[in-house]
Amino acid sequence: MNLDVEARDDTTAVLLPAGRLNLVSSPRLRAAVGDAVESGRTLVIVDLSGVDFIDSSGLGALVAGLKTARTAGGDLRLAAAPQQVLSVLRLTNLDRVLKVHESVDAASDA
Amino acid sequence: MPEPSWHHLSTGHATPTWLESLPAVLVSGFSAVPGWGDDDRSCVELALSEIATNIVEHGDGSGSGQVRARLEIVIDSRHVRVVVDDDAPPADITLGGMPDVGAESGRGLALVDLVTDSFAHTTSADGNRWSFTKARTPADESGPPDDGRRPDAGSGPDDKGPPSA
Repeated sequence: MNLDVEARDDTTAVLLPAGRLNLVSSPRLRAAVGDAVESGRTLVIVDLSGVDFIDSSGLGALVAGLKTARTAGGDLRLAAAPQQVLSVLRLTNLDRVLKVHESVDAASDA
Repeated sequence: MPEPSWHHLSTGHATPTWLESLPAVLVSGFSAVPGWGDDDRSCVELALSEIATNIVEHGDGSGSGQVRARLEIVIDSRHVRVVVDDDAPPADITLGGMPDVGAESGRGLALVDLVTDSFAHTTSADGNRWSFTKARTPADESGPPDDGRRPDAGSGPDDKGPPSA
């Protein structure tokens, strides 16, 4: 999995994982959220448009990231999730707490 | 004409590398047996990933790859059947519902149960057996039928059908 990180502004980071979000790759996503929050960017937007598969390990990383961001007074929001990701979020009821926005801009404005 | 079917059998160490190799195995299988829709394929891929992850992560408690896994997959035009045997100590599995939304783990096998038609875990002195089946969703529930016919194709004398070889 590739993972790009963009500092959108002083308080917002955009993470762009690409490929498979699973046992192997999810620790990097957790670490990236932690780094962003530590740098003061407590609003973390995860752009999922490049993710073609997620399983429970990837979901665990997103939940952990949500906790990390909220503990720091921020939030973690999802953007541009493909169908497989939407399905798994719905099956696990995580769509109740991990809101998916159409785009990074929409997530930023929410 | 016999229905197409595909059979895979492999044995290896349950490592992250093994886990990462599994999607390509399924791509080969579904390429050999056409007609499976994306939703069904995603369910099979998810279920296999969750089971393999469980073995890699918890098999011997260290993830060091000492556990060996035997993977068997059979795909035909109607069903997928997957059996994974490992030689790890018997796992204590209790299938409950989905954990609370705040949980960071514990969803894997619950997901397998949700996206397959039958999921079973059994233990023996040799280790664990994880198996599931997934039936193909009928075409009229997943989209228009794809039986190779044109919508306006008839069966009368004017319909010459495809050219014969």
